[in-house]
Amino acid sequence: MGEVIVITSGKGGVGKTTTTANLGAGLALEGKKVVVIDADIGLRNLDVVLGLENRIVYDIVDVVSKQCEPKKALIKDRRFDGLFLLPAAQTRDKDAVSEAQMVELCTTLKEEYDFVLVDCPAGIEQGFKNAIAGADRAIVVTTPEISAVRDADRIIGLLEANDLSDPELIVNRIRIDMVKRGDMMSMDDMTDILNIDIIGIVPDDEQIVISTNRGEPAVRVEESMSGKAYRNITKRVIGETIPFLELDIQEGFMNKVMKMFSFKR
Amino acid sequence: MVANKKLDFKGTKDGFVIYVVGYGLFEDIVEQIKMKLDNADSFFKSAEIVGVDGFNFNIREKKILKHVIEKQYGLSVVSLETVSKTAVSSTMEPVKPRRPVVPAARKLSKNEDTKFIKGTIRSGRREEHSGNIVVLGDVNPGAELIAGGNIVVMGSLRGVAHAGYPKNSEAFVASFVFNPVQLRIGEIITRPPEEEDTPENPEIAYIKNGMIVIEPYL
Repeated sequence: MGEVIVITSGKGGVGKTTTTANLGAGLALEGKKVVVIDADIGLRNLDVVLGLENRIVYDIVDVVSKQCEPKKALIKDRRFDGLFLLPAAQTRDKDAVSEAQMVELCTTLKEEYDFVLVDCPAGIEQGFKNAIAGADRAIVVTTPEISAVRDADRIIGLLEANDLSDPELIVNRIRIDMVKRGDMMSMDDMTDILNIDIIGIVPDDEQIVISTNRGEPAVRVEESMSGKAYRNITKRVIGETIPFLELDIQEGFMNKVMKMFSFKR
Repeated sequence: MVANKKLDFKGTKDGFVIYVVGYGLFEDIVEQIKMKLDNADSFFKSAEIVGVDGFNFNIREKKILKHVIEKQYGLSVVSLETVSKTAVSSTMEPVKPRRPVVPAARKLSKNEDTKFIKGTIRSGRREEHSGNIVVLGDVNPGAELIAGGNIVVMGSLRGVAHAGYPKNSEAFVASFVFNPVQLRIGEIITRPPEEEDTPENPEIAYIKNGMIVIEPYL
């Protein structure tokens, strides 16, 4: 029996889809059988980020309305053994799927797969309700911006009200240099308000833009910082205890630069 | 409505007192009470009416009013006897003019109906109660607390707190880390000054000379 994890944020543009794609690919690289579901009906993106857009024949609405078997709609990612995508319908809207249908779909899929990742749409309306309906566990993505943190707080409240207690937090696009200057919210600032466990910190990285545009998850790019961050998150999702390396490395590097600088002076 | 006519529900330590100013006809008062209660939604639900100020009802009128308030709106009427403002406050213990003078703190000793909330109150949640509210956790930005009595937050207060709703200027708001987005006591609304840092000491806010003052209580 697998686990259904919803990836959500409230605010748009903080990296839910990128996180879903990288976590899905990461889990597949760890040898797990994974389905990623795009619940953002009408504004589908996950297929593009995964580079699978041109292979869509059936979508989630076809599956829940029983027009085709889930197996038939799933697109197998040829680069990652064990990764499957259930794409959203682009020509419908959020009301095309109900919460009960999502529960049924997730229950069916988790019988056969180790992980079912649901990419939640932005907002707190029907799309959000659908996305969390069948979930066993929730990951909240935020960025170090006050508006994203506010929305994350609201989302955590809604998740808790829907029996998804103890959601885990991914802080995306953090810039250590800015945090050090006091120009960006620090991890402490965010945990102080949100008060939930952190499962990952992803640094701001050009590589993620490049790989997203190419439809190639960054998790596979060995030298990329964000890729490394997502590999660590993947391991933590499976249950391994991995220290938050990324920041220390950057911090160490920054410290060295600072020290050299002050030494010379 | 003529400007000098006024009707309000004022929260006291024992319950709500109906304040009537400038009304001559019983029917007008009933009408006005209905309107107030209609607009207040569930705020007064299960609240107690303990007296009236500014109008003397006869026995028949009391009966009608009690019926309307209890049956139609679900409040309980303890008394509709006339109480004056001074009579209400005179039942409280006298304040010793010692430092720190926190008049609102008198109310702590009274046994008021208090709602306890455990855990973080996150953005989007609104807690209303006709008595006191005590939060064992943080109140985050975007959350609202509205109490007829006092509000105590055993954590960080970062949201909106309204103590003494709607008109109890005796109420106070206290928290370990006092950093609300906005603060309301009775009819007064303030924004805390834009200080550089959040305070380190627990603080209390109450009304002094018609203004909300914030000071440490430890």
